[in-house]
Amino acid sequence: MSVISFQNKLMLKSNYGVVLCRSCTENGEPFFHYVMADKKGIEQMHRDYQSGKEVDFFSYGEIVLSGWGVNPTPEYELILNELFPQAA
Amino acid sequence: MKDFGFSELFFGDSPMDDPFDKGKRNSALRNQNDAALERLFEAGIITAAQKEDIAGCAQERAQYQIQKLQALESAPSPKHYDQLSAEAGAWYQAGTMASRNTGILDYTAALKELERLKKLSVERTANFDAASYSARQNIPNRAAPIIQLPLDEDGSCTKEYLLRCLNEAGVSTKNICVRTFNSDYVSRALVTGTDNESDSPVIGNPEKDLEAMHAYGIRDIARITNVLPISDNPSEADWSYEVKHGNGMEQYGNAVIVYRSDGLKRIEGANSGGLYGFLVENPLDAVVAVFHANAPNKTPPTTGKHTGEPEPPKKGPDLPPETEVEK
Repeated sequence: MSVISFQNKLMLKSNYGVVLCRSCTENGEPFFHYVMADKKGIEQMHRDYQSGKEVDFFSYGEIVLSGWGVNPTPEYELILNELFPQAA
Repeated sequence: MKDFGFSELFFGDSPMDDPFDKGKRNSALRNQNDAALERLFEAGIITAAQKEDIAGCAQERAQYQIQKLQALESAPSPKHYDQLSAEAGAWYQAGTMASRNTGILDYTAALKELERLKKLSVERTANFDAASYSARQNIPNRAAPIIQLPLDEDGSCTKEYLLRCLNEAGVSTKNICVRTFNSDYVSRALVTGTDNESDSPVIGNPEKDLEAMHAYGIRDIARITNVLPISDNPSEADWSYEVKHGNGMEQYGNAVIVYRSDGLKRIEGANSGGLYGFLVENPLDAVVAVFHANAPNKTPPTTGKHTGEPEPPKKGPDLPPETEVEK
């Protein structure tokens, strides 16, 4: 079942969304990807999260930014806002 | 003469007016401030006690408070006054420090310059070249250039590894010395780049460094260690202890400052232990190397399990019109 809110569905009506996905390596090093995906891709992300299976983040769409750590630094938000001014 | 904006503001356009003449500038400011305070008092915006209070401040601080009070002339209140006084005090303190570190008298301009330098400090460059980098970024010659390097594959930093990285980055490794720092501290070193022993973040004695660091609100997690000669008098044992295993490298710090040892000048009468007794003649000879456990060029894997729920999407570029949301 999709956990995307109705509000987010409206946002995605004719657009891609950029979603922050968190994961970690086998050694436990956390990393994250900002993935630009369409509605189907985003819904798939949520399904995969709930199932807990190993995924390929490329399968959702385009990885626009990546980094190490649990949470992106504010620098990433700035870059993202530059890439997609309407997201700010 | 470089114009920082003071000449027009306080002294007119006369070439004889020197914006760097502190006494003259203070005198002009005092006259200007006194007149403004009188007007504010007559308009009932401030009380006599407040007038005295502001007039007794340093003139730049008084000027700032006056400007704020004038701006609120249409709706003044005691609450506003208290708030503005607190703001002005904080601005004055930060401005004093910024002015001292940048050499710019105008506090507002100094704060802006400091902010600009702070931004530069996080700039990453893979192909580092000190001279062209400094020229390109217009870094004042008081600031040390920075280079960001990945840690070795096993997460360590050996002497050979550092030398190789610096060589690859085009930095001369002839007669260099090394000092380990915490990265927060390095940011400040880069910003100020002072060559003054008393408040030097680049070089100086640890107690004074820590004092200065606290003044900047940086937590005391930094560990400052001795300088390590790595080519003119290499000592493998010291090197591995200081850099690979500690004195900050793993627990506290992730950066080193590399000096050309032939650019170090001994301070007369100073403590001769390690780096404490030396000054760097030209801070540009010092390279701040910041190490990252996760190298900037090492991208995370594209596969893995979700460890957190994907965050609500941010709106991106337009999709083709055929994309629709299911009802």
